[in-house]
Amino acid sequence: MKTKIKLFRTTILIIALVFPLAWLYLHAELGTSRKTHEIDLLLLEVIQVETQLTEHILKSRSQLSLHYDDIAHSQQHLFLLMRKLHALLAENINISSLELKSVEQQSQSLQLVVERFKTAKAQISQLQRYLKLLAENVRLLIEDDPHHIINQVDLIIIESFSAYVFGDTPTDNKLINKIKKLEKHASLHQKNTQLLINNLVINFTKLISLKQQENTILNKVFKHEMRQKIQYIRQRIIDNQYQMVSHGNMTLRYLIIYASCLVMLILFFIFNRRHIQKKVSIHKERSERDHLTQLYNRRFFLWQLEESINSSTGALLFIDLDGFKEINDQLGHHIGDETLKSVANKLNSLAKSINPSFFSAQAYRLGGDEFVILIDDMDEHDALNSLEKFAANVVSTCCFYLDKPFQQYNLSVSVGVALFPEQGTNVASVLNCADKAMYHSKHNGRNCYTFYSEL
Amino acid sequence: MIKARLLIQTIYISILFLCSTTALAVQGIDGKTHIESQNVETTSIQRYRGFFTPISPVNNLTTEQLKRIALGQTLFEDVNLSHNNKMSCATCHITAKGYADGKSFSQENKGVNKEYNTPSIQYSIYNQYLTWLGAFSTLQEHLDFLITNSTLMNRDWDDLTNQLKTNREYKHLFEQAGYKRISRLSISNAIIAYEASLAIPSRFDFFLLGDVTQLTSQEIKGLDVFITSGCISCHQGTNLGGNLRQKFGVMKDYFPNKISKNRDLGYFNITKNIDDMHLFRVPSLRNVTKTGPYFHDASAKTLEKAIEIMFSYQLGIKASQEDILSIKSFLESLEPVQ
Repeated sequence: MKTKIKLFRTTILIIALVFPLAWLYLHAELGTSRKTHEIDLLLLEVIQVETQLTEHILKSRSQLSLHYDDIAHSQQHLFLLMRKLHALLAENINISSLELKSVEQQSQSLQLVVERFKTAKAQISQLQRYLKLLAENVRLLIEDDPHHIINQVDLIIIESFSAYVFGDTPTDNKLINKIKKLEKHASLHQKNTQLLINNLVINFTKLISLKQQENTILNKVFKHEMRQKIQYIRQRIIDNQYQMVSHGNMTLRYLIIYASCLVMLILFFIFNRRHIQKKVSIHKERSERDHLTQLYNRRFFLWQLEESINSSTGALLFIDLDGFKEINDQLGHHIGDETLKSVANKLNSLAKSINPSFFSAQAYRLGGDEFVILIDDMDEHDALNSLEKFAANVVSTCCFYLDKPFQQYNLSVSVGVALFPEQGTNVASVLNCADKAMYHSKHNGRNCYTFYSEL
Repeated sequence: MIKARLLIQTIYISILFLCSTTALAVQGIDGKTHIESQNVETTSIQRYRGFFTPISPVNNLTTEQLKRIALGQTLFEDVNLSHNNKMSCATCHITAKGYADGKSFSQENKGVNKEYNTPSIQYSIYNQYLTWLGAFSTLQEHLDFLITNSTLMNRDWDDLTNQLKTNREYKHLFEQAGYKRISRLSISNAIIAYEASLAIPSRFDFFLLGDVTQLTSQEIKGLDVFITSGCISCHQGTNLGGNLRQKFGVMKDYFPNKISKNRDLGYFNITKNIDDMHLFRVPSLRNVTKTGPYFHDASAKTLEKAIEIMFSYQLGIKASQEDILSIKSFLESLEPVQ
């Protein structure tokens, strides 16, 4: 028993030691994957900000937004995100940091491109206003207009704002022709007008080149590699994690750790359960049996008797030892105990030797030198006869001399028999009847049996 | 079949027409903005708000925030933060001069002139980047630079925090402001909170927020000249600038015959890219009346001169005296209202 308790203690100790260690190990392993997850989220946010930036650029290109605050905010956001990424990179993570560094570089180049866009866009909108102003001046200068110069200037203004009502965008050749025509007509006018129109044409060509520049910048923004790069890196992160989970030794190791812990726990519970079950059965036995004679004791007997009275017919043999007191007093307790044991053995073997087709019997020790045999399931026919035989058998078996050194002492029993339900339907009355019958036997000179019904 | 095609064409054309006219209207190409004095309609305010974003007044600050701002101000004005105990942030950013210094060039701690004119920091919280070249993206970076620069405060952050930790008054002030300890972050956080608290709305902001009586007719006229002549293409947004870089001398070369100094190369100094030659950050025009002399090299002593230079070199227009005056009066409306 003690060794088992020790075993449980050691298992508990081992579990208490192994669990925190395993937890620490797993925590460290998970920490790195958490960091990659953080980077993943950061990259996602970068993509988001980049999309916003593109949206703001498009808005300001199509004149839906007339200031660059939104663009500036997005740029700043992107800048701060890159700062964060840089800080994370410093912590040394197993995804190839070279690629992340290239993302950083690309974001810097994107910032540069956006700066160019803002500068170019501001110049364009300023030039558009300037051209409009020049056109107004031309209109003021020219009084008679045989060559429709004002009309042509207006066309150029429309071109500069890209505001075609009928969707007819002129090709480059057409534009050049128009400009040439305008210059030719202008040469017919005064010098002032000529200068003004020349200025207009120069600025217009400047505007066209700026617009081309803007378009190339926009192309750079749209076809920027950063997003693809980031998506590629995110894909790789996911792939890595999948690889780690599906093929790596990591998972196996985790599984083994988990499984061993689990098995230990299960074993612990099983052993514990068995241990408890055994203990319970031992305690049950102890509470039901008499310690000295190994017969059932008074408590179990009372319980059993009540059950029998309620369910079936039967009889109660109340057995009291004659002359036990002398033996006990004169020869000592250990001899008395031996005697009790031998009587109990005899009664027990008698009870077991009965043919179960007649009835079943069980011996109990009530306490001191009082024994009881409870008989169940008595058959109607011939039952009383066999019961009488049994009682006689009990009396004759239990009448004996002690073993060798004390052969002058002899022992006998007085038996009282009560039947139920004839002599009572509860425990007290049946016991009482059997007791009375037993006393009658004692009065009758001991070593005999008496049926209560015959009194 | 033909009918359907015609229908589609007419719908297409009308949509195009609508789009283009709205685009022109937004641009102000019609050139006829009839603004009755003192009676500006809300629609035209909407038009202005397309270019500018107003600063809303901040009223309900918590006591902790107020304490932080007060702490930031104390740090801002404390000369003991510098290495030679003579310089504070307020040495170059003087309240009366609109948080610039009124001198042509900033001065080092030894009294020597630095390369550039001191920019105002009053509305720097709304700038996308700081300094004339836009070298710094955040106020934190800028502060790091100013504190550790050997020609300015010349301090080490560790050294500075240790000094403040030994000071009992500062310890108390930092505790009151809700900082658990004195560190680089808490110091710069307090100073930045103070800098942010300086950005208070002007009459122009109240005008944009809907109070049309804030601007006089002269100022509104200035605003319209500002928009139609093209200043607006760079000076826009919350801060009327501060969110892009632009070439100094778009229409005419501003640095033709002068000996090209290093500072005149502009953003090129940082990127070494030929496209970035003479590119400078477009400064904010808020509180501009107080922050003269103007430009990175202080080449314009007065605001009128600055406006004139801007008109001729950036817009290619010879400005009339009337326009200059009206724009100047508009710029006066950008002074913060206490």
